[in-house]
Amino acid sequence: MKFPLFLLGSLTLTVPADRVPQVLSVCMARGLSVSHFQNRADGGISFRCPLFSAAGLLRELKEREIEVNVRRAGLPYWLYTHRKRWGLLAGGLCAIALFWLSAHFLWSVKITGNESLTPTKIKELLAAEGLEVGSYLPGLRMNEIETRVLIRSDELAWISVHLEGTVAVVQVIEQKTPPESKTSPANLVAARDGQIEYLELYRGTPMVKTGQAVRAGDLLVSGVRDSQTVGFQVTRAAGKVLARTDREFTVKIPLTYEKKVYTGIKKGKITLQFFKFSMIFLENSGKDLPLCDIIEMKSSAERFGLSDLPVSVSREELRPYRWESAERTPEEALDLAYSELAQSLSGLSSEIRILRKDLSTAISDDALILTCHLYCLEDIAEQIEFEAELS
Amino acid sequence: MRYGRGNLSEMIVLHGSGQISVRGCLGVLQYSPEEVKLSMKTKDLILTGERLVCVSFSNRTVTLKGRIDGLCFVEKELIP
Repeated sequence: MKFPLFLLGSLTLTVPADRVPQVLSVCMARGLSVSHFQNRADGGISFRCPLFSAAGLLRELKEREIEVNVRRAGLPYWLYTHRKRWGLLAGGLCAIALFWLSAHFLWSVKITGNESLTPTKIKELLAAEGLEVGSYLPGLRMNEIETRVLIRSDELAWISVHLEGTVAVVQVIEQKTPPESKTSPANLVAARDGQIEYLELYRGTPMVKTGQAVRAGDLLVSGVRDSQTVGFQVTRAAGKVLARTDREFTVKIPLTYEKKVYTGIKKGKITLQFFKFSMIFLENSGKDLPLCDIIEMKSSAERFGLSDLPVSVSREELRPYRWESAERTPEEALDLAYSELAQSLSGLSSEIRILRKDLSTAISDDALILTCHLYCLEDIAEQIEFEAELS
Repeated sequence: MRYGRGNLSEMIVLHGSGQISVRGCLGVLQYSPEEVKLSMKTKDLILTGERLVCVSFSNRTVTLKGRIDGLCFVEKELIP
């Protein structure tokens, strides 16, 4: 009852004690619905009635010379008292228009069902067909978008797009490629130099023995078999050939180098992104800075738990710098060399077993050289296919 | 407790001794926390009690709350 009274407006009448029966009788005779009755200490009452029905009541009370205290309230009264404040009205209308308009645009895209494809990649495919944050909803044809995305992408087997309000929910199923069964003939050749320690043969004809030294490219297991009864037969050679190998890594760290020194921080561009529209508030492109790093920071409503809002502010930070010549101590150079060496070694396959590692350092006038010699045990067999004409 | 007097537009509904709804009022003749006198079609109705207050009225139905000690019908008075 309170909210309709607020919307339509209401009058609160305060009636003195000696006039209560007459006022209530008039209200009853007019068929008015009144509420919020209160007994006052002086014997009078106060009650509330809707604005649209109160005009006649007040007129009749005036004719009967019944004086009552009237207090107006509600939205019509509020609008009347603020009628000269155009800004409020304009702001209210803009808010209403914005609410109405925003329901016609896409606010968010949610992707489910993807495994190897990233949501960003799928969103790019959808954006190419016109479905992205900020798209005009009445103009979208979901069936056509689904068909065109499937045609465009080889990685998707199925896609479904449906709208839940202003959010597009996209479900995908990725293509599953069955493993290739390789049947073409192949040899096993040495991928690198080494001394054979162990030979585990699955298919093919071995051409080397344990303890034999081989060089990169040498034939280890042949895919051709000379059968005494049916002639030559080809097969896909398979197996493991473990051999002792050695590898060398060299890291050179110069003792004199160019160091980047930042000379300050300057504010760059500030951009407000709203759906597909962007508005630049502050523009400082940094064109007068000869050398600078530009760092872009984007903040959205995620920090408030509103990750789906298509509103974000991006700020650029300009960090001018200059190059300065600097020197490293041999200890610093050695630390750096070790970290680079560790990075290189981390790229080795986990199947390589390192038997021994020898490290040596050398310092020249301008650089420190770290050399690492690895003695390993690894599978050096590499399958190389060949063509065979079967007659 | 419900009371109707043949004329279906008049009805009095008493909820215990704390609330009463009277349908078919033509007017209020007297109103105070101790006594409320209502004009009905054929008789007048007097309600007595304490802290009587009108909760709502609309469409000739009045609802009162408070401690109701008694109600009685008296001969009609003219509505002022």
